[in-house]
Amino acid sequence: MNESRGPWFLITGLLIGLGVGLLYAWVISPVRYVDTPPYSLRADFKDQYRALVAAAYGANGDLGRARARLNLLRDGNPAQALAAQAQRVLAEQGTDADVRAMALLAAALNGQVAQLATPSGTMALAAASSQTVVMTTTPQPTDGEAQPTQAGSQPSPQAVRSVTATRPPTQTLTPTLTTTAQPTRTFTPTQGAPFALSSLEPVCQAGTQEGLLQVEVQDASGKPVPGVRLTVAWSGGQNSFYTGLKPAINAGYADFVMTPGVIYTLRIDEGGEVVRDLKAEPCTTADDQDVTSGLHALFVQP
Amino acid sequence: MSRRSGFFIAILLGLATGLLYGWVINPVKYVDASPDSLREDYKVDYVLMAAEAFHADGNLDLAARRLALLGDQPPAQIASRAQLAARREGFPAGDQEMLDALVAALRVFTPVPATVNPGPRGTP
Repeated sequence: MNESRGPWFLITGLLIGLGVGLLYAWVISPVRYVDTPPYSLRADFKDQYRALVAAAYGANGDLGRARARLNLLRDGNPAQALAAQAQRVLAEQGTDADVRAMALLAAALNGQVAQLATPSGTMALAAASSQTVVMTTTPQPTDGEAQPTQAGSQPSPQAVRSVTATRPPTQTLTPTLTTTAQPTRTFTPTQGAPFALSSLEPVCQAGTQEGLLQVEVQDASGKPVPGVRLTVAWSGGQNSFYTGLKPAINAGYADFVMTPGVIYTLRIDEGGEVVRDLKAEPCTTADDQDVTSGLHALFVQP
Repeated sequence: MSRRSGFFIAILLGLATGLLYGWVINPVKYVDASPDSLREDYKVDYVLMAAEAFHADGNLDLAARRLALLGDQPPAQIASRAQLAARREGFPAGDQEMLDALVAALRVFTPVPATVNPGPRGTP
């Protein structure tokens, strides 16, 4: 009788051991990551990280540092990720400062502008080349593999030092002409009046978004200006949006889809020009297609 | 080898296989980490970003809320640790000054209590 049991007791023991092993490894003492890189952050924490990178860029104007920081998040297209986040923040009634900062950084990453829009005009971000950074310590994305440790074990200072010793932050040395200069933010105010409407033209084209109100904002020298707040109001509502959130088109570009039959008023920035009676109307294209027209408005700083 | 010892050896073998699979081959993957699990140098850089933003906007409450993501300790303590790390790592003087300013401000910082809506008042 006993002989007929064969090796089943071994298999049973193996399965019990396997079950206990997995229970211990996955539930009781799972692998715990204590030295994670930013790209492993949860999506909402990544958003906060991105917003903070933009805020820091707004403060120091150091595009290289901002780019290195964004690279830590491993977004496919950092500028696009910033613009998309800015749109989300805008839709969720987020703060103006956050949206402006992200729009500015998105535009800067695309190499389009170096200007920050403000309610009173524009401010040029001074180039940092004559300033500064003697040494920048920036964590690099390539060295950011998380270190698994066992839960329950205390991360000792030695362990932390060990991690640091094996993959220290890369220090990038940038020689400068002076050693006393500090990496300070320098805004160079550009005096100028609020933006004024330069042209307003109907757009009657097939194959494009119908009823699209396209707005472009330029400074006195014709450069696109991101981060300009635009407010569209109509009977029963209003909406705000910013230039620079579609940097692939133009850093000074923004758009809004109008509903046919509704009359809109567009206001640019605080105290800027107000354009009234904007509407999407039926029109016929050059090749006899019936579509709903859009509008293209160009605002320029005199 | 007796049947009993074979049974226990099989359990140990299974245990070892389970641990190998759970810890090495297919460990728990953390893809939604929180900022407090960031590596120390990333945390320092995060605090530096908050210090840079504070340097520009002067919004201490916002800076404290940003730092609160990095752990349960008071923001001043988090900033102070980053300040020490920045000195140890030889950060540029400008960065250290911004961290110093943030730490100094946070030491005397009193968080703004959340506003409570008292609700509509009764009318006589």
